Amino acid sequence: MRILIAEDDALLRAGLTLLAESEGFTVVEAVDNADDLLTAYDAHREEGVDGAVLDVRMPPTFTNEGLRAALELRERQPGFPVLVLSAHVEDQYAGRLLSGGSGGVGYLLKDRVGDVGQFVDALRRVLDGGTAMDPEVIAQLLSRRSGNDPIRSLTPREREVLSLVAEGRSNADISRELVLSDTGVSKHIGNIFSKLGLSTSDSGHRRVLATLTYLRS
Amino acid sequence: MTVTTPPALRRRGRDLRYLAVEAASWPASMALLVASVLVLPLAVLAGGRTGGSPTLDLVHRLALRAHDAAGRLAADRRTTELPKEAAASLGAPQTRRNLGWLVLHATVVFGLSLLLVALSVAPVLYSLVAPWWWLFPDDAPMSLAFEITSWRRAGATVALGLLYGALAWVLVPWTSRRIAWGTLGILEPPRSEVLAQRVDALSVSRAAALDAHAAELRRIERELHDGAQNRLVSVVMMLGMARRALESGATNALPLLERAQDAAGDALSGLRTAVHDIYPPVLDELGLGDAASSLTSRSTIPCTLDVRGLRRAPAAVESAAYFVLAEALTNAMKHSGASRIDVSLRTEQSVIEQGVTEGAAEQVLVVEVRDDGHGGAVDHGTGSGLAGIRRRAAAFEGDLQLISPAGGPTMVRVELPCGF
Repeated sequence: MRILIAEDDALLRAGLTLLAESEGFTVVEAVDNADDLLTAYDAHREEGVDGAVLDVRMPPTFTNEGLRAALELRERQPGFPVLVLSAHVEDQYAGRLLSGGSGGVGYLLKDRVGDVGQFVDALRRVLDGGTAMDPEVIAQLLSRRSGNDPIRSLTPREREVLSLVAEGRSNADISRELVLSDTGVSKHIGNIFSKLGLSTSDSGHRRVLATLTYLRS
Repeated sequence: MTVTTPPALRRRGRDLRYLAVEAASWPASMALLVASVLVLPLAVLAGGRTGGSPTLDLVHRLALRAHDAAGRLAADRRTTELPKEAAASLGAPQTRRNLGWLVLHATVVFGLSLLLVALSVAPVLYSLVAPWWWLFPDDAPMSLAFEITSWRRAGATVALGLLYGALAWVLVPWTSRRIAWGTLGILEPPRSEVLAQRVDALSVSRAAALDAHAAELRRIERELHDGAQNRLVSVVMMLGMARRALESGATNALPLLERAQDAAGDALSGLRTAVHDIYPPVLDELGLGDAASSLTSRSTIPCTLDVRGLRRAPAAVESAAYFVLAEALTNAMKHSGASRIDVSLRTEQSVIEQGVTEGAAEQVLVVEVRDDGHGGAVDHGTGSGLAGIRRRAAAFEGDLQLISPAGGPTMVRVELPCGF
């Protein structure tokens, strides 16, 4: 898998490159600002680039250059996988990343790189066209549901499952995380979806998007 | 007549000098009055814009001088400083006040001043000249107040001169003071206008304070984000990679741990800097003087520090002064190419006493940084170190002065009112 990295902090950039390469990814280019990322993307497009890992906040204004660059990349190549890292997460930003309706989107707190296994899983998922939403984003979305929301009728276990589904995790992943059987997970998901009135026929990435759309509505 | 005491004489000498200068400046005010009468109709035709009109500029300068002189004479009545530059419009209150004063100065002030100067000079002049009446031929006798043809008449002349002198003795202080009061009264904006200006100034400084505060928060956030937070992410990442390496049985985890440790060390020093920049602990512990000395001793360019005239100020002002100094030193070290820097911190009495705090002399904390570098420093507005200094000064209704001709030397002077 060939990826681009954009991160303005030199030490972090080197760290991310090291991490990605030691996990078997090829880092095509690692740059320190959004413009260079777009240039690098154009330069390497022919040889094939599978996705980009980028920091939200980069020079020159240190606000959300990374986010805008991610949207720009997906504009140029719909569905181009982007994993956006940030020191803090905002569900508004998640919404903008998801607004295209296609997958290949990741939005994670920078802190998540500490759990290398999960981080690499998330990166692979995004590069495969899946989704990786930070648990923090899901928690923000869940916390703002109002009083008589159907989500209130979920059991604590179902809420856990729902969060993991919204993060973009696969059934196998969820069963491992919550120490449940595969059928147990499927049953929970079936219950959740019927309680929320979502189509149970959605699977894989469509299921994640449907969940996130529901949570953001 | 009371006994002549030196202070009374000195006072009258000062008053007389004031009157003499006012009388002597009559040609200038008369000429400007005539010029104004000629120029004003044109200005009215031009829509009241007078920007750059040399006549009104000169009127303003003359008014400034008169205001200054009057202010020195009647220090107890003085309230406001006049603007340094002439107003750009004819309708501006200051322009109208200047013109009103000009009319008065060219007429009444001149007449009174001249009369009193003449009265004061008379006793000396008459006493010195009258005794020589006999040198004059009979058909063209000496004539002072009247023709002097005998010693009796000469004596009468001297007596008249003394009478004039006595009159002057009484009238000079009285008149000069009234002229000074009148000058101040006409030239200075009325109290309501002073208050309105003060409110404007306060609004501006409050906005600047809010801006400075927001900029401070952003700076601190940036510093924490780019420093400690990113370093800690690196720590976590390196540890995660080391753990993964160890879990998979690899033996090359040590370099990763070393890098994690380095990053953690960086994070700590980043936090220390950030904490220091929020409020330098030394300020609390040692006061501004010693805190400044720890700043100057860290300068890479030889730096002297003079804090002899420094008194304690409110913590917020000291903190602002500290950061102003830190920023000015950083600027000098980065850009000036200087071989020495002289820093002076002192408490001064403010020159201007604002109308509202009438009489109460305000203290200002002055931070002055001079370097012998190549000069040419300019205030670029946003972003530069000078902008940071300006922002901090503005938050306290303070003032930044930058003198930096090409070729140097450079002087940065910041005044921070202590009773903002």
